[in-house]
Amino acid sequence: MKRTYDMRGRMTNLLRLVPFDKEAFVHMVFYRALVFAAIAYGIVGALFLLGAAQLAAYVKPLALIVWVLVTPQVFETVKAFSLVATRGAAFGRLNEGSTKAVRRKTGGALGLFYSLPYAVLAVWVAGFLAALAWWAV
Amino acid sequence: MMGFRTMALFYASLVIVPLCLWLLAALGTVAGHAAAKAALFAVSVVFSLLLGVIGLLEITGGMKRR
Repeated sequence: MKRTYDMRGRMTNLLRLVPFDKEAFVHMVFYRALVFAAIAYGIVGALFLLGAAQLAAYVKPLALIVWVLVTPQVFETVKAFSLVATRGAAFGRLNEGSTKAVRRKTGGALGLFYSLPYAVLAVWVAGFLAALAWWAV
Repeated sequence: MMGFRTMALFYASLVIVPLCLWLLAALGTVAGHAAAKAALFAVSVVFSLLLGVIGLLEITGGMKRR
Protein backbone atom coordinates (compact mmCIF):
# COMPACT_ATOMS: atom_id res chain seq x y z
CA MET A 1 0.00 0.00 0.00
CA LYS A 2 1.36 3.38 -1.00
CA ARG A 3 1.73 5.77 1.96
CA THR A 4 0.84 9.41 1.44
CA TYR A 5 2.62 12.29 3.15
CA ASP A 6 2.34 16.03 3.20
CA MET A 7 4.14 18.74 5.20
CA ARG A 8 2.12 17.85 8.30
CA GLY A 9 3.22 14.20 8.24
CA ARG A 10 1.71 10.88 7.29
CA MET A 11 -1.91 11.32 6.23
CA THR A 12 -3.10 8.05 7.82
CA ASN A 13 -2.01 9.47 11.20
CA LEU A 14 -5.21 11.14 12.37
CA LEU A 15 -3.51 12.88 15.30
CA ARG A 16 -1.79 15.22 12.87
CA LEU A 17 -5.18 16.91 12.39
CA VAL A 18 -5.47 18.00 16.05
CA PRO A 19 -3.39 21.23 15.97
CA PHE A 20 -5.14 22.73 12.96
CA ASP A 21 -8.57 21.07 12.55
CA LYS A 22 -10.14 19.51 15.62
CA GLU A 23 -13.48 19.10 13.88
CA ALA A 24 -11.88 17.04 11.12
CA PHE A 25 -10.11 14.96 13.77
CA VAL A 26 -13.39 14.12 15.54
CA HIS A 27 -15.03 13.40 12.18
CA MET A 28 -12.25 11.00 11.15
CA VAL A 29 -12.03 9.18 14.51
CA PHE A 30 -15.78 8.61 14.51
CA TYR A 31 -15.69 7.54 10.86
CA ARG A 32 -12.95 4.95 11.44
CA ALA A 33 -14.97 3.48 14.33
CA LEU A 34 -18.19 3.72 12.33
CA VAL A 35 -16.82 1.55 9.51
CA PHE A 36 -16.35 -1.43 11.83
CA ALA A 37 -19.52 -0.77 13.84
CA ALA A 38 -21.55 -0.56 10.61
CA ILE A 39 -20.13 -3.88 9.38
CA ALA A 40 -20.86 -5.49 12.78
CA TYR A 41 -24.41 -4.08 12.76
CA GLY A 42 -24.91 -5.26 9.16
CA ILE A 43 -23.73 -8.80 9.89
CA VAL A 44 -25.67 -9.12 13.16
CA GLY A 45 -28.78 -7.60 11.55
CA ALA A 46 -28.56 -9.87 8.51
CA LEU A 47 -28.14 -12.99 10.68
CA PHE A 48 -31.08 -11.85 12.83
CA LEU A 49 -33.22 -11.35 9.72
CA LEU A 50 -32.23 -14.82 8.49
CA GLY A 51 -33.55 -16.35 11.71
CA ALA A 52 -30.88 -16.14 14.44
CA ALA A 53 -33.32 -15.03 17.14
CA GLN A 54 -30.70 -15.20 19.91
CA LEU A 55 -29.03 -12.09 18.39
CA ALA A 56 -32.10 -9.94 19.17
CA ALA A 57 -30.47 -8.48 22.29
CA TYR A 58 -27.54 -7.09 20.25
CA VAL A 59 -29.47 -5.41 17.43
CA LYS A 60 -30.84 -2.35 19.25
CA PRO A 61 -27.68 -1.47 21.24
CA LEU A 62 -25.62 -1.84 18.02
CA ALA A 63 -28.08 0.42 16.18
CA LEU A 64 -27.66 3.04 18.92
CA ILE A 65 -23.85 2.79 18.73
CA VAL A 66 -23.99 3.28 14.94
CA TRP A 67 -26.37 6.20 15.51
CA VAL A 68 -23.86 7.94 17.81
CA LEU A 69 -20.96 7.27 15.42
CA VAL A 70 -22.91 8.67 12.44
CA THR A 71 -23.59 11.95 14.32
CA PRO A 72 -20.43 13.85 13.18
CA GLN A 73 -20.95 12.54 9.63
CA VAL A 74 -24.48 13.99 9.56
CA PHE A 75 -23.22 17.35 10.85
CA GLU A 76 -20.34 17.50 8.36
CA THR A 77 -22.56 16.44 5.45
CA VAL A 78 -25.11 19.18 6.12
CA LYS A 79 -22.28 21.67 6.63
CA ALA A 80 -20.83 20.66 3.27
CA PHE A 81 -24.29 21.09 1.73
CA SER A 82 -24.46 24.62 3.17
CA LEU A 83 -20.98 25.32 1.83
CA VAL A 84 -21.85 24.09 -1.67
CA ALA A 85 -25.32 25.65 -1.78
CA THR A 86 -23.87 29.09 -0.94
CA ARG A 87 -20.84 28.61 -3.23
CA GLY A 88 -18.52 28.87 -0.25
CA ALA A 89 -20.09 31.92 1.40
CA ALA A 90 -21.26 29.91 4.45
CA PHE A 91 -18.48 28.02 6.27
CA GLY A 92 -16.05 28.76 3.45
CA ARG A 93 -12.71 30.60 3.56
CA LEU A 94 -12.91 32.83 0.52
CA ASN A 95 -10.82 35.91 -0.15
CA GLU A 96 -12.41 39.37 -0.26
CA GLY A 97 -12.94 39.49 -4.01
CA SER A 98 -14.52 36.06 -4.19
CA THR A 99 -16.74 36.81 -1.18
CA LYS A 100 -18.09 39.92 -2.96
CA ALA A 101 -18.67 38.00 -6.20
CA VAL A 102 -20.41 35.13 -4.42
CA ARG A 103 -22.53 37.50 -2.31
CA ARG A 104 -23.74 39.22 -5.50
CA LYS A 105 -25.01 35.87 -6.80
CA THR A 106 -26.36 34.27 -3.62
CA GLY A 107 -27.78 37.34 -1.90
CA GLY A 108 -27.02 38.45 1.64
CA ALA A 109 -28.99 36.11 3.90
CA LEU A 110 -26.73 33.30 5.09
CA GLY A 111 -28.31 32.75 8.52
CA LEU A 112 -30.37 29.81 7.29
CA PHE A 113 -27.29 28.07 5.86
CA TYR A 114 -25.19 28.78 8.95
CA SER A 115 -27.88 27.36 11.24
CA LEU A 116 -28.89 24.39 9.05
CA PRO A 117 -26.18 21.95 10.31
CA TYR A 118 -27.09 22.74 13.92
CA ALA A 119 -30.84 22.36 13.23
CA VAL A 120 -30.31 18.95 11.59
CA LEU A 121 -28.00 17.94 14.44
CA ALA A 122 -30.75 18.84 16.94
CA VAL A 123 -33.27 16.66 15.07
CA TRP A 124 -30.70 13.84 14.90
CA VAL A 125 -30.01 13.96 18.66
CA ALA A 126 -33.76 14.21 19.40
CA GLY A 127 -34.24 11.06 17.28
CA PHE A 128 -31.57 9.28 19.29
CA LEU A 129 -33.23 10.25 22.60
CA ALA A 130 -36.63 9.18 21.24
CA ALA A 131 -35.16 5.79 20.23
CA LEU A 132 -33.65 5.41 23.71
CA ALA A 133 -37.01 6.11 25.32
CA TRP A 134 -39.03 4.04 22.83
CA TRP A 135 -36.80 0.99 22.97
CA ALA A 136 -36.30 1.44 26.74
CA VAL A 137 -32.66 0.40 26.50
CA MET B 1 -11.21 4.77 -12.56
CA MET B 2 -14.47 6.61 -12.02
CA GLY B 3 -14.75 10.21 -13.14
CA PHE B 4 -15.84 12.91 -10.72
CA ARG B 5 -19.42 13.02 -11.99
CA THR B 6 -19.82 9.22 -11.85
CA MET B 7 -18.33 9.23 -8.37
CA ALA B 8 -20.71 11.97 -7.16
CA LEU B 9 -23.69 10.13 -8.70
CA PHE B 10 -22.52 6.88 -7.10
CA TYR B 11 -22.28 8.44 -3.64
CA ALA B 12 -25.56 10.33 -4.06
CA SER B 13 -27.40 7.14 -5.09
CA LEU B 14 -25.87 5.34 -2.10
CA VAL B 15 -27.56 7.87 0.16
CA ILE B 16 -30.70 8.70 -1.79
CA VAL B 17 -31.87 5.19 -2.77
CA PRO B 18 -31.72 3.68 0.76
CA LEU B 19 -33.14 6.89 2.22
CA CYS B 20 -36.19 6.71 -0.09
CA LEU B 21 -36.68 3.01 0.68
CA TRP B 22 -36.21 3.69 4.38
CA LEU B 23 -38.75 6.56 4.36
CA LEU B 24 -41.28 4.39 2.49
CA ALA B 25 -40.82 1.57 4.99
CA ALA B 26 -41.03 4.00 7.93
CA LEU B 27 -44.32 5.36 6.60
CA GLY B 28 -45.56 1.77 6.20
CA THR B 29 -44.55 0.96 9.77
CA VAL B 30 -46.37 4.01 11.12
CA ALA B 31 -49.42 2.99 9.04
CA GLY B 32 -49.28 -0.39 10.77
CA HIS B 33 -48.01 -2.81 8.10
CA ALA B 34 -46.00 -5.58 9.76
CA ALA B 35 -44.02 -6.34 6.59
CA ALA B 36 -42.92 -2.71 6.42
CA LYS B 37 -41.14 -3.06 9.74
CA ALA B 38 -39.06 -5.98 8.45
CA ALA B 39 -38.38 -4.04 5.23
CA LEU B 40 -37.22 -1.05 7.27
CA PHE B 41 -34.80 -3.21 9.17
CA ALA B 42 -33.59 -4.93 6.00
CA VAL B 43 -32.86 -1.58 4.34
CA SER B 44 -30.94 -0.48 7.46
CA VAL B 45 -28.88 -3.66 7.36
CA VAL B 46 -28.05 -3.42 3.65
CA PHE B 47 -27.20 0.28 3.94
CA SER B 48 -25.03 -0.36 6.99
CA LEU B 49 -23.09 -3.13 5.21
CA LEU B 50 -22.57 -0.91 2.15
CA LEU B 51 -21.38 1.95 4.36
CA GLY B 52 -18.98 -0.36 6.18
CA VAL B 53 -17.52 -1.96 3.06
CA ILE B 54 -17.05 1.37 1.25
CA GLY B 55 -15.51 2.86 4.40
CA LEU B 56 -13.14 -0.06 4.68
CA LEU B 57 -12.11 0.41 1.04
CA GLU B 58 -11.50 4.10 1.76
CA ILE B 59 -9.44 3.44 4.87
CA THR B 60 -7.28 0.78 3.23
CA GLY B 61 -6.82 2.90 0.10
CA GLY B 62 -8.77 0.54 -2.17
CA MET B 63 -10.54 3.46 -3.87
CA LYS B 64 -7.49 5.71 -4.20
CA ARG B 65 -6.55 7.11 -7.59
CA ARG B 66 -3.27 5.54 -8.63
